[in-house]
Amino acid sequence: VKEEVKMEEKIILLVEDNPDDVELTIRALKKNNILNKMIVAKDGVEALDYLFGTGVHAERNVKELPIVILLDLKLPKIDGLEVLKRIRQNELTRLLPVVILTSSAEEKDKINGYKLGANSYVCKPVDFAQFTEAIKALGLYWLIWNEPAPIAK
Amino acid sequence: MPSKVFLPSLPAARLKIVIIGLVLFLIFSGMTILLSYRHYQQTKVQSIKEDQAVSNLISLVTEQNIQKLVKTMESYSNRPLLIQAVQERNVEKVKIHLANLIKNDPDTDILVMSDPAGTLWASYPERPEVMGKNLAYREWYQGISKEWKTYVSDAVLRIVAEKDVAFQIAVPVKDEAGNVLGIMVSTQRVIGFREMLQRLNFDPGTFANITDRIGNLVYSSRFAYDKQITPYPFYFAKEKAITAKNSTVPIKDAYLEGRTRYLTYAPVTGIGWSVFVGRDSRTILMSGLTYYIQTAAIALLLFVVSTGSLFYFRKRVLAQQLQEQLQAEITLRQSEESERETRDYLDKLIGYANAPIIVWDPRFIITRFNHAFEDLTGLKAEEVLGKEIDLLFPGDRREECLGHIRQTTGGERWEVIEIPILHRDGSVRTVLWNSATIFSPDGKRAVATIAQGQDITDRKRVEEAQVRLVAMLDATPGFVGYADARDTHILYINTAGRKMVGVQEQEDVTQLNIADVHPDWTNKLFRDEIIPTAIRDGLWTGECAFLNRDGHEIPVMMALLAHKLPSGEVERFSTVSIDITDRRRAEEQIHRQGRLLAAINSVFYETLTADSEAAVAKACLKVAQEITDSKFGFIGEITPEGLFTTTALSDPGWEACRIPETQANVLIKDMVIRGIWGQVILKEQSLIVNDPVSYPDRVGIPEGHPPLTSFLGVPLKDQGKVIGMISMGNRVSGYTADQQEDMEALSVAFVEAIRRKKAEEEIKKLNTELEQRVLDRTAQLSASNKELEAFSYSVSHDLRAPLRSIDGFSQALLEEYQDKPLDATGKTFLDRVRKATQRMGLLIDDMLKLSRITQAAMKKEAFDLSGMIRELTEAHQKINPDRVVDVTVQEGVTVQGDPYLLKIAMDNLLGNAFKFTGKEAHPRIGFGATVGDGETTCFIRDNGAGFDMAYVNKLFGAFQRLHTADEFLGTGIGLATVQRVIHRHGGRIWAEGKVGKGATFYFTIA
Repeated sequence: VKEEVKMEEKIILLVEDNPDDVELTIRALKKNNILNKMIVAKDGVEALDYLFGTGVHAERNVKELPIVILLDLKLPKIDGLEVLKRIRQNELTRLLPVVILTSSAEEKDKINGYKLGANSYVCKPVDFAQFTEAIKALGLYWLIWNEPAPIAK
Repeated sequence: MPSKVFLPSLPAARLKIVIIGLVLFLIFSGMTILLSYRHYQQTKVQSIKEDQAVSNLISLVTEQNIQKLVKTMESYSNRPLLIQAVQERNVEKVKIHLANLIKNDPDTDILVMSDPAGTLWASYPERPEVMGKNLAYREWYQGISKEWKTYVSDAVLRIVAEKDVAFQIAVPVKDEAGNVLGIMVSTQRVIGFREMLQRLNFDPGTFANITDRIGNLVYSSRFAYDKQITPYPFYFAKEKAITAKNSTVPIKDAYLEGRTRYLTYAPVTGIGWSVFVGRDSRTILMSGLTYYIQTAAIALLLFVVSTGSLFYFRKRVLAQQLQEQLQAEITLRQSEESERETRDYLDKLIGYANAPIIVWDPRFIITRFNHAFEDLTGLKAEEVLGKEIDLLFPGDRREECLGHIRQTTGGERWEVIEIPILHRDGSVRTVLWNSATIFSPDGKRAVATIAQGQDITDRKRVEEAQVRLVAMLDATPGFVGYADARDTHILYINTAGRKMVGVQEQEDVTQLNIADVHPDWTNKLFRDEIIPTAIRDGLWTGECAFLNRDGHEIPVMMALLAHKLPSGEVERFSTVSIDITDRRRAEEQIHRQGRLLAAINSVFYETLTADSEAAVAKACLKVAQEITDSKFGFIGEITPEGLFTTTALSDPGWEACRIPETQANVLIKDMVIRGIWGQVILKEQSLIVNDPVSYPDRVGIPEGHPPLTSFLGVPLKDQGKVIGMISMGNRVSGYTADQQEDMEALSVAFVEAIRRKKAEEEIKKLNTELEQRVLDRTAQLSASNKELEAFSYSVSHDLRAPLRSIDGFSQALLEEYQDKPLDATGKTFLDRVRKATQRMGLLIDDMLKLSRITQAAMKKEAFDLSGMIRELTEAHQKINPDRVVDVTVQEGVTVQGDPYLLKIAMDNLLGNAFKFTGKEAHPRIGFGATVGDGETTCFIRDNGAGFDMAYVNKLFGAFQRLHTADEFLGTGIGLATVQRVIHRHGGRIWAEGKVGKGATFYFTIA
């Protein structure tokens, strides 16, 4: 229980335009008892608004950063790679762990993703069981085992 | 009398002149030497005399001087008061006397008084240190003590002060009885002498010396003497002089490099001293130097003048002599006695003459025959003397010559008459003769005739050569002539020259001037260049021209020479000129060919850059016009219908055209082949018409055509077949075979250029088509590639998503509802599975559509786009019956395109418009078209969700979406499909929009 509470403090930012995928991701996390607060951004613009406290998220405290960002690549308006680029360019979010979670298995996307500073690249399996496994592993790794970079207060 | 006397010029005579010259020279030099020597002697004697006078004078002056002192001293010594004072030995009183005495002579240094034994006891000025000294050993004491008479001493050195040379005068002081009471001694310095003698001006090298009795110097103007006792080195001369009884003696002067010196001695009477005046022999010689030089110069001048006159008068004298002698001989001839003498004389005279001289008697027997005549005939005098004169004449002219001879006997004188003389070797010499016949004193009978000749054979030869030269000049094919330089009137023109300028064979050319045989332009050249150059350089060469009387010019290469007199004045101009008409013609030919080649070259060069067949034809026309000096021209082709179409009309032709160009352009196409120009095509040969007005086939000039004064037409042939023609017009002087030839040559180049252009245009057309096809194909390929790329990307990404949904929610169903009936959540799961399935189906449909559009064959036809839009909106309206959309369609918009493809595109655009206005309360959709810039721009507009212009570049990409599936459903393929269709029609598509304010899609269909 203590662990869960602790985990609840850690926010996950999911950037995903497909509502099915959002639903399935939430389901997979739940199944693996990862009950952290999840923020969903439906496109690149919304994701950046959330991180930098602009647009619809203008009132947000930008110091409260997600512990990990799960980023889809194919997004309306601003695509995932552009979002990643802007995250890395901003001093505030420069060190944030970003995991690319995408249907694309294109080599080009992988290379560009890593080049722009992605911490991890995960291809969404079509098989839901495998998808659940992947989400579980991701959650365990990034929420429990990984130590985020200390952020200057 | 011979008219000219020839002087003998034998070597003996010359030798004589030389000897005379030599003798003269010797005489003059002897005279010079003698005069100089005499002058030297005189100078010497004079000098010696002068020296003697001087020495005597010095001696006298010295003596007088000393005597004066002596007398003064003696007068003092006889003064009773002094005598008394001496007797009393009163020093003070004596001193008073001495003091008085010393005033008499400034040279007196000191006066002393001694007793008879020579002991000093008084002096003035006072010298206490010498008082009481006995000076009996001194020379003055010994001198005076001998007879107790006044004594002048030899030279001594002063004992006090400067210790210079001085002498002493000792005077006895006696009482009345004659007893010696004392001696008064004066010491005299010799300064007085020196000053006196220095006043005498001696010749340079002359010195005066005074010695005492023993030969020591008292004074010398030569030697240093005054600080010590110096013996005079030439004192021995005194003895010599006395012995020789001649006061002057020559001695060798060791001090003067042993030169002779003339020393003159004179005794100073009463004292025993001597005076010597010495003179250097060289100074005597030198003093006469100017004289010697003058003498020598005068002698030389005399020599030159006399020898010059000698030579000058030589000929005259000799000639005169000869004449006189000749006269004398003739005179002598009259006397029998002197005849032989005269004959000898005459023989010599005649013999030595340079001109051939002959004398014959009244019987024509040769009596004289000189050396010159021997040279002339090659006969010896002894061979002809006494023989008849006719042997001298050439056989064929003997009678003629003898006729001349006979006339002389009658008293006729020959004056430069030409009589030939036969040489021994058979040659004939031409000789000019002068003669004189001598008559007996009574004047009745001819005694002899003397004739003197002048061999002019050589001169004659020169004259003949001149005649030949003139003949040659006359036969020279070029123009040869000369003219007087003063007024440039012509003196001579050779035959060819006369023909050149059209002057008759017999005509007197001296009536003509240089200007009469030249055209005006060359006369200017003559004035400005030719004559000044010839006068300056002696020669001018260059191209010039003569003017024939018939008016035509003959171009020539001319050489003009200026002949100058020795004075520098130009006497004549002569010219040699060669007709260069042929050369000119050849040059012109070459020039023409060069021009033609350049023209052909320029045709090919200019037509290279020409962009049409008409431009090529125009370039050809321009070249043809230039080369033929034509005003205008045209090029045309025969049409397949057998008519004539003008390809190009020259610019000057257009300028001269008097009707509007558009109208003329119609007239010059498809013309009936006829008229003058038509003959060129019909007869298939070139044609020149220089008087078109009277040409039989003329049909008159067409409307707008400028007046025609001359015409040249040349057919254009391709492989022997006439394909057209080129025509030139209005060459000022008309056309000749030259222009025709040029044009025929050029026509080949024209045909070639036009043919090449045609072929080029054909190739260009093919190339353009090919290029367009390649472009089209490349565009298609690149589009397919892009779509293929998008397709595969989409397969990996977009097609997976629905599958994952299907799998995911199916799994959820299995897990959640294994043993219970489906509730709302379960239904949602199933709903999601269905939606994902549908979505996938949609994706697959769209992909297929896109790929079909890319590959579908396209046809183009005009159709009513407005109608199509209307049908499609109605269909959409039917699908969404619950929606009320305000649709406005502009009627009458027709386009050229593929109706099937455009229908897909329009359906997509309208579908989008319906879709994005779905959340609008009053949805409006409009279609319209605007025309501008030559193209029609259509648009479809809505007032729906719109989009952010920031993402406009993503709008037409395949599988790109600006909206999430939550907002609007879509595959992201629709606009890609629309763009593909428009692009395939060669059109453009773009969009404008604003979030919440609707969007407008513009497109063009080319």
